[in-house]
Amino acid sequence: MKFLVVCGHGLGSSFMVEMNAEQALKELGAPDNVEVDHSDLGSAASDMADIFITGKDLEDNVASLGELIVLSNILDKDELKGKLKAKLEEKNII
Amino acid sequence: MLNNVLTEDKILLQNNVKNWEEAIQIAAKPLVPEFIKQDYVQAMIENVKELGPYIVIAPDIAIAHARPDGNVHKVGLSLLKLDESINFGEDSHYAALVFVLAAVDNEQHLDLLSELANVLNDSEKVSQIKHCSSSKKIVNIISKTHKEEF
Repeated sequence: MKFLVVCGHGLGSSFMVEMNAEQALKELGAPDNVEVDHSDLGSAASDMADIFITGKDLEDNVASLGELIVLSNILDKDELKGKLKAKLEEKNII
Repeated sequence: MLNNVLTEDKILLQNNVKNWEEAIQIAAKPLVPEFIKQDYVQAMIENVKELGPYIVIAPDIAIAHARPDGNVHKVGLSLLKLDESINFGEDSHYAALVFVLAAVDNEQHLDLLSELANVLNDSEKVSQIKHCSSSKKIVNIISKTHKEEF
């Protein structure tokens, strides 16, 4: 299971979210095969991940890639953790 | 690392700006020409026009940046602190702390960014920074975070 955090240029915000997501997955007790990576809009492709994480400002640009987690505040660790938890539970991973 | 990069001379304080374009231009000034060329500043502005105000990553915090294209000499960071938040979009994307990130590639700035994220994830620290009256005080707050975290 792989999450890909996508932002405009893959330089800044997606990396910050990736760090927070890794921490959140650890706290949630997600298994090791749940991975997170980051990318930019231009290079992100549907086959790069199972679920794509992005901010609400870029939702329309990322929607075509596949299943989404959309964050209203991308620095909010609690929002991210809550949405990751819901998604992992939905998939029976935790 | 954050403390060696975001030094007092890279932090500007100002009451207000006319618009978000001006906010990016002023915030970038301490980095030109040693870190970035003027066309990186233009690229950051075009970036927002093209993709929207997503650089406002949290309430009151913007990190302006662009894909480097031979216009960034080294990794750098600057900050414009505004007393009056400026709107980056049509529907309330207000920022009072406007950072400018100079990235040379996809990797070299990541340590810096993770340190900055530690500061910005602390709403207490963000609030303190917004009430600072000098760049020296901002540096002090950031360096305290640094010592506590590492």
